[in-house]
Amino acid sequence: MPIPVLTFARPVILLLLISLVLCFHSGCSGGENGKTTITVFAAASLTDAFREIASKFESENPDVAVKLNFAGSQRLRFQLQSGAAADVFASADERQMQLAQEAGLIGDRVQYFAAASMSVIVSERSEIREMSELGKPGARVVMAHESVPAGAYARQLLDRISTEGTGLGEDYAERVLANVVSEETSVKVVEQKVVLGEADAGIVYLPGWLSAGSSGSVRNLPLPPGADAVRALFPIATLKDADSPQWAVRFVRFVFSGDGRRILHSYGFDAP
Amino acid sequence: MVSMPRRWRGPDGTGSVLGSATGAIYVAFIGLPIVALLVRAAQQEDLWSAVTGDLALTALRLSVFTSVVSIAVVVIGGTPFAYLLARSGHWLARVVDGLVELPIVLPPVVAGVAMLMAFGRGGLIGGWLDSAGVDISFTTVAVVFAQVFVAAPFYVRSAKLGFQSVARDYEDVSQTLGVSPISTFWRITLPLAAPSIITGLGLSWARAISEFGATIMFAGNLTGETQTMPLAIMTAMESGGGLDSALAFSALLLVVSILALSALTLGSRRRWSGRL
Repeated sequence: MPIPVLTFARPVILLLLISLVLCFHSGCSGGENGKTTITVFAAASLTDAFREIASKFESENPDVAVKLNFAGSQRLRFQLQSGAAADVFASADERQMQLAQEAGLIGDRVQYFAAASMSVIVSERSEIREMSELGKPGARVVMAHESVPAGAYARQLLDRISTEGTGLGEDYAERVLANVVSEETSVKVVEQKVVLGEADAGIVYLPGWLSAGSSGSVRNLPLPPGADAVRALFPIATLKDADSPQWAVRFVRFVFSGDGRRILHSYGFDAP
Repeated sequence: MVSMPRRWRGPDGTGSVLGSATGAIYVAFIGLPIVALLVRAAQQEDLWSAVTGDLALTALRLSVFTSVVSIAVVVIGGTPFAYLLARSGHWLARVVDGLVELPIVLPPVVAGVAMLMAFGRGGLIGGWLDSAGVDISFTTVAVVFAQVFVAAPFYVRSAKLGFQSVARDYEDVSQTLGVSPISTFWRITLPLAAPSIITGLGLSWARAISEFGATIMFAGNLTGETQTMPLAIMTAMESGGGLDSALAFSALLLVVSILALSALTLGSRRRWSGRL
């Protein structure tokens, strides 16, 4: 006996109708109660700091809701280039900001709002105790891919250690890179893989170590003198196609305000 | 209710109009992005050098190798299992049957994390494997693990339905005539279930070669070791100005996949059409 299609279609249609009604009821097409929404694209390393900055900004400006999108800066830049709508872009390095500028995405001038030192974190599970062991065969090192700011800085750090006469050897960078088992797409994933103990060591930002270190499952290795000269610089800018340019400017200004700086500092970021 | 089904039964009247209309929408909806991808990829001048470059070929080789190994594992392990699920009335089989599709529901990244929790160095049995000197995460083996995990359900489900469609009477008759159970399975059950099995094989392989989330989480991203095509595409895409090479890689993967799936369909038609 043929099965009446409508027997199946009826519940589906009903479900669709219910979800439509629910949708209108709670207003799922955005704009909570006439609030202005600004969208901030921020580097993954800024996740904790920018969440707090955004909620502080929202509490001081009740008419604004801040939507945050965190990912590796290279992914954010790619999303923006592919037409993603945002008001503010905070990158973890100059290169991604420059690429965004070259693509004509940046509305205003670019300003540097934070800096961070690099940090080598090691899993508690691992037997690695000092930097020299990162270059020994068998060490499992993760870092971000070179297209990711954290990955570019990590390579700079290794190069600097190799060339600055730190005693670790001129081929240090080469030996550590040979031990890399995975090139991640964001510094946060590097942290996670070391926290999980899957990798022995990872190269991250100092603020990342401060937050990951609180889990008690990672340690940090002291860098050789001279290596701390490698610092990540974080630029921020409003975007040309911002939906609410005034609020975008205000948000950027807030990042530079006393409150903004205090929050950034509490997460381990320095002034640029 | 009695007259209702008639309208939907054949390709005539309302049914066929509705069918053609939705069919056109479907083809446009699925086809446009794919055509757009191929057109954009074909527009670039150095398409050929991008698809024959080291990065693309290394990733493609790894993708083809791992997906074929994964599918072999899935077929060898999944076929008897699917047969058991189709034939067994045991309550345990029914419970397991309900769980087979679980990996399809799981977001792939979650599947990757779950695999780390199980087979990673800090995982449930991973710590154990680690002390035995077996490392899985961040190796090509992990890529296969991830692919098998997400792709197996498609095969098992499809093969099970195939076996269920084969009436038991055929098997019984064959065995009454003195044919051994294994021979019966090979000569009666398998050919009859073949269309479903081939469909499952295609789906499962496609899912394996397109696997991304679980792989990047569990196996990581390293050229030549764990960077399969989907990972290489994303890595290229996010490198400055890499959209062109990402599109070229995507087109390459698409063409290879289409060729493989067509070969599977044509080959299986020829193989099975003459039997019975």
